[in-house]
Amino acid sequence: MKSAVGINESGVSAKERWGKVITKRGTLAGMILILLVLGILSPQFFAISNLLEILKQGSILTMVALSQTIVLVAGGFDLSAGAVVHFVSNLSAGMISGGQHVTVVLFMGILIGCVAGVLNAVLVNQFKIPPFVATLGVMFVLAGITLAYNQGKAIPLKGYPEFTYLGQGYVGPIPFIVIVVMAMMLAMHLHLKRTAAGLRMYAAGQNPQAARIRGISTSKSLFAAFVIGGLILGLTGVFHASYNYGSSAVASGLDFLISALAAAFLGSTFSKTGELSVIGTTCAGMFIAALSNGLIINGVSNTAMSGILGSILVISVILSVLHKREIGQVTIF
Amino acid sequence: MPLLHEVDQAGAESSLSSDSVLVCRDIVKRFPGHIALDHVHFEVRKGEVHALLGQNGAGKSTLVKIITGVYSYDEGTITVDGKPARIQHPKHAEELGIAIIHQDQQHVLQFDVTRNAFLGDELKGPSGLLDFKRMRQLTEEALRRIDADFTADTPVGELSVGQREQVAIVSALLKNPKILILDEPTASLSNREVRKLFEIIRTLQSQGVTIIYISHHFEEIFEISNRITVLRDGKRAGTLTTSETNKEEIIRLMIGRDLTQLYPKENLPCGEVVLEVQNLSQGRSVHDVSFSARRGEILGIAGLVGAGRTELALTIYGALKPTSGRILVHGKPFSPRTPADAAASGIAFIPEDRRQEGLIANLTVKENMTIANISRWSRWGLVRRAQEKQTVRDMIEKLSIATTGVNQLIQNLSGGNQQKVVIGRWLTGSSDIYIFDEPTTGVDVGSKVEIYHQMTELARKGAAVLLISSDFEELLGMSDRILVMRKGRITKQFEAGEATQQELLYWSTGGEGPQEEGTR
Amino acid sequence: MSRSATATELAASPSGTRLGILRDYGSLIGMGLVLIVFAIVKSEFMVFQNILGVLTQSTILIVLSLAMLMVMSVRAVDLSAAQVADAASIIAAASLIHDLPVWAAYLLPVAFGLIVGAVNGALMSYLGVPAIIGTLGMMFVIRSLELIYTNGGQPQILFTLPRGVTEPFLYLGQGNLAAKLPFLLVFAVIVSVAAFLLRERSVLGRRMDAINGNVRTSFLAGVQIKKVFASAFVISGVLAAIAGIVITSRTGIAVPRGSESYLLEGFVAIYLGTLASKTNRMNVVGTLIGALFVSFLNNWLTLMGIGAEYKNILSGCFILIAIAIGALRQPKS
Repeated sequence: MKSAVGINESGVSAKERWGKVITKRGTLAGMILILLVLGILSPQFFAISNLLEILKQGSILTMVALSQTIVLVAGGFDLSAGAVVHFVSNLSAGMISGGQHVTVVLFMGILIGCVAGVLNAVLVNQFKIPPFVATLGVMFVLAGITLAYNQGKAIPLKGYPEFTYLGQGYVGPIPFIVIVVMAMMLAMHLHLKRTAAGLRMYAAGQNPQAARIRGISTSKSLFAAFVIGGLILGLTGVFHASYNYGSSAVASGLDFLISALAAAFLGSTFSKTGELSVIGTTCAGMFIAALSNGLIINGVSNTAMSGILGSILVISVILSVLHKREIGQVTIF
Repeated sequence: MPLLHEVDQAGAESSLSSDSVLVCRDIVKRFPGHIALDHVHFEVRKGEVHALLGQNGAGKSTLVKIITGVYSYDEGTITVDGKPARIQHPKHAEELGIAIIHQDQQHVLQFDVTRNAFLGDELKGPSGLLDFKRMRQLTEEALRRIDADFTADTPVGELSVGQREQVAIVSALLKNPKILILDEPTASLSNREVRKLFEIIRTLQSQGVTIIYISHHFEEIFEISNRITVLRDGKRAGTLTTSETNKEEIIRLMIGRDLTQLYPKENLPCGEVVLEVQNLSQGRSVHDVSFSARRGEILGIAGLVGAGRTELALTIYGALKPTSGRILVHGKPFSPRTPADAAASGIAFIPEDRRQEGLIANLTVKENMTIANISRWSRWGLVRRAQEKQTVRDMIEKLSIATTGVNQLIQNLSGGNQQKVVIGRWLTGSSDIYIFDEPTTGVDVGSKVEIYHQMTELARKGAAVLLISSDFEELLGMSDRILVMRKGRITKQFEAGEATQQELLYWSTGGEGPQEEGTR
Repeated sequence: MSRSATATELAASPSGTRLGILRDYGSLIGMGLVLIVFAIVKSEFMVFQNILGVLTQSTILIVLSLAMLMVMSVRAVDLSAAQVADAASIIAAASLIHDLPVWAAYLLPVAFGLIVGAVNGALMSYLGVPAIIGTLGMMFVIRSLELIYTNGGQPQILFTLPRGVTEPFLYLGQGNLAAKLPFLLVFAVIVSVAAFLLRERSVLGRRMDAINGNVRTSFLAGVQIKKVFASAFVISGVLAAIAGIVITSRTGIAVPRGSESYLLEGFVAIYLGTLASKTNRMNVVGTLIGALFVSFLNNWLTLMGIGAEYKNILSGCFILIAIAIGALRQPKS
């Protein structure tokens, strides 16, 4: 099997194998090191209340990242992720302040998320629109609908304890939202790593030709991935409104997207083959939340934050593609 | 010697035997421009190892693709285990118990052996989750059976090509096939791995599995097969019982007709050495190769699939990095980092895989033809379109390319005309070393003649031409000298007029020299 | 996948026939019809002053879309393009505010664009980072740098500076040639012609076409793929920076993050532009038409008092429709 620039692949050389080991251990070690340094510089970082806050923040981010992960695994890409979250968030805030019950709102979130997923999947599978374009279009549309709904203003939620429990409440010492994220992660892990459907999703994403030869429908796998991902995004939207005490005015959600992608790719550096995994994504997602928190505690301004996140994203990807020797074309067009 | 009759020995052919596991009768398969299979009978008995032989283009792979459901067929019938079957899809063939191991099986490299083996036919436990324990167990068993030196947990990406093939075999074995087709299975295997493969084959045979074995390697065929069917030019040339025939007879069946006057080769005076290769090695594909090529000569490079000829060419051309050795062009040391370097130094390369490596499918004839030397029409960085168009038109005429115009999409041309465009790409420049890798596969006869004509022209104008080919007729008709490669080494160099088809085949398949252990 | 008989007929029609003309030029005719409808609904749309204003204003989007087009023509994407424009506009303004000569206000932003382009090229071409990730990360790094420099987003204002200083600079965006012809319009034509020559008529452009079509074949044909791939990013950076200079020159003010919305509009322009090509190829002329269409659409929505949300929804729908039409036009191989 030749890569575009013609590498003679007859097994991996010892040097390459060592490179991968260093990368894998290195990423984990690096992450722990960075957090330790941040904590030593500002010990409040390690305060229990702060750590819990990190977990809560990280949960929202991780949820989006989990959704993006499963879609990436199956060979797709979801630019509309952030827009779905914001749309559902706004809708939730609106419905709650309009007196709706929490369970109704949750149901709505799941439904809308699934619909978005189905829409994306149909555009890609039936209309043969490349995932990047399809989800870009859906993002536009959803952002527009969100703006139409909230007229460009945030919808604050004050005094709805039943609802805000979702994002801010605790079960004993553990934040409820963390339990939800862990449940999501476990369910997805089970699906991706322990079921035939999950295995086929990985195959569809990594070598669609090999999958098709064995009679697997890659479009079915992509469909399922988008729907599951959409479902998660829908839930995330509801939790977002809860955690933030309302929805935000922003609509396109590109900021969510970058954190989600960063978490997914960073998580992939944990596996020796550079494979995406939900556990890796979750760890990376929590790390990014911890990192943001730690930087802010240490006085780094908000303005520098996105730049630092961007750099982390790029560096983690460099680490995982360094052993290949191809140019970074994007095939999702 | 009869040219096109079917030559069979008594008892070798029996189409109505009750222990036939597969009967293909009167199979016809047409492609635009030629008939790939012309009323072919092919019958395989249960539990035998049946070898299928034929040169490139004889129809072997077409027949196999029909049996495995990849191609449809236009006429004829297929019977599997006594029941008529219309095989329309690979999965369908699999359900009928027909499995195939290709040379480059597609695997998901990040998965381990177990997952690749069971992908598509996964085993589930009572809870609906994957039963990894059992899958791993079965995979380990299968691996033990073939005495593999890797475990079921190894990521396939870390395995060598030979080992990946073993994974493919395991994958097929797990489906308990009735018929196992092995397509050139030993091309990348070391001798030790080949021995293992034969043990597996014998074991399977004793368990009632039927094997169809496709290969050019005669010593293997004579060791392992019970019967041999030879295809030639889309027809069945004969079916023989292995123990009652010999290599010469098989070769005669494979080659058959006389050399027609297809080859406009002339004896040209050869000039100075322009390309010299000294002790060149590349990875596991090329070992210690040394030869030289001179102006005005056509140097044929013979060998079978997996002999390392393409890798040799790619190394000279800068697409692969040599492990050791030297290359000299015009007497000066030459170490290209990319094909761009090689092209700038006057080397032209026409790749084997026209579709993936020779064409840019979505572009026009003109764009495909001018890409290599585009800077020749450059003025201040812009392309001089009128001159470019004219050059392309001239080339189209010179090569007799059948096209509606310079702006026709190249994917709409026939294979032969596409190949002419690829060749024309280099003719617009000033290369003096041309490497052709299987230039006439899938090319109609008319275009073939054109291409041969061009090669001769190039040699006449003083270029050195390397012709890699699996078609011995072609090599003999076109080449001055011929190198024969096998498993990465040159086994024999023939001077002009010395070689015969039999000798080429002989040296490509190992000759009588001492067997080397392993390919390293 | 089955398609209706009419779709197949449409795709197979030869170019001269009525059906063929519909297929080749139908979308452009459609866009024209939409604009005519706009004019009927709102007569102010058709006023000469308005049209001239839109054309002039559209220069920004035109230049930025062309920047993005360069990279998309080699199967990559430059998500940092709008951010480069954003930052370049600030650099231009800052140069004048800091008493640098006018030529510095033109040159420094371009140098910035060049550097960013070079870094992008190095990341994507030589290190092999997938363009989506690399340029996304770059976008956020630039954003952070902008916010840090401008103390959290302070607009850089030019009209408080003495006329003598700013007038030469503002001529680009606000000056008129004889007979009230805005200089910027002429500038747009110059840049468009240059982009056209570079992308559609130059040796580099041919090589870009080649690596877009088949990297392996181009490699074996002697094209220096890493150089060509990297060049696309460099050109994009420079063009994006030029767009930024135009922004400041036209408005007299540089607002950090104010130009980010051009990114998504650029995508719309490029994808709409594929309809102008018989083979759905991304091209300069089509992108120009697309950018003009988007600009006129925005203008009409503003005149109608319709908010940003509908702009988003319409943009999303247009993208999807454009690609779907494009897919229908192509007979499937």
